[in-house]
Amino acid sequence: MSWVTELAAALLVAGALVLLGLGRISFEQALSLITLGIGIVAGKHLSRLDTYLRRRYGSRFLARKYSKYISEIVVGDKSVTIYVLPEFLETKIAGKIVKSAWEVFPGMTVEVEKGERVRLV
Amino acid sequence: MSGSGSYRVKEGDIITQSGARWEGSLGFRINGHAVSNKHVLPDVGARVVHRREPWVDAREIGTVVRTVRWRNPSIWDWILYIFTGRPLPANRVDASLIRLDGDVEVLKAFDTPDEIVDPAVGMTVMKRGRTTGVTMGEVVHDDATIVVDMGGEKYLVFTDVYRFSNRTLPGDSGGVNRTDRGILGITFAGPESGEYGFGVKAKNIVKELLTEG
Repeated sequence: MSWVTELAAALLVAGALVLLGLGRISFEQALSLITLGIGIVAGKHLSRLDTYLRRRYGSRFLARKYSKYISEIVVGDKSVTIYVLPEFLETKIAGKIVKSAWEVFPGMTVEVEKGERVRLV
Repeated sequence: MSGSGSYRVKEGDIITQSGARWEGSLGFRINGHAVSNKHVLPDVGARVVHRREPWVDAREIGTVVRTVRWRNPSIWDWILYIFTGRPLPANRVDASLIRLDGDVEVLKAFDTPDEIVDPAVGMTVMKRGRTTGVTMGEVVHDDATIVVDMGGEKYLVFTDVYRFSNRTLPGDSGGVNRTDRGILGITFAGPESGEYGFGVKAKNIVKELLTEG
């Protein structure tokens, strides 16, 4: 139900305008309700922007930060798979990478797989 | 297109740039040009040579007219990264554009349409390259970020590339990757084992080499 937020915001704005028209609330109160309605929709879209930016740049951030240890990162809908070079799989650095991934992709499952050093061919 | 005097080359054939001591592969043809990797054809203005077999006589087929710029983080990138958290730059494309000589004809390596297709997991990958020849596989990851070891503690991050299951070895770089619906991209990287490889998406090559700037 992706339209519920917009519907609630529209009802809030419409209600504020009706109440203002009926003289039941002041102009400032109506303005506050309208701003609240707009804010709800804006918040929803900002949250989407946050998700988009994390998906788009999160893997790049991790790859750059841990370039010595990682060969590949794949971001799925609900999980992130990080391919760590074999010599670092059982080391503290692997745990550190997972911790960073949790911070960058909160709420997503982080999986670690055995990677291989990648070179231009 | 079999006019007299034409010199026929095929996607995945051996190419290099004049005077170079390495060999790569020819990618796909687009708008009268052809593409291969930047690391195969790094210099704009260099002549491109074609070989029927590795390291034997070559024939010039065109000129490198454009290449992408790999973005290593500058000092400003690092400052912005530390103080604002702005992500460091990465790269999407390893490609150069070849203007083909008038008598050169590029034949398809596989009989598929010339449409640019976005890779999707599970798609068939038909690959042709200098070292492994024709291989069949499938797209394993359609949107990966990879770290390429450039040697000497230098690393380049590439984003929005795809991984395929086809065997891939040095020299395959630049070779075409097609699926039954069209062109996916070109080969550019792989692990030391050669068990799989990575491709640069054709749509990103077109965007960076043919439509930007």
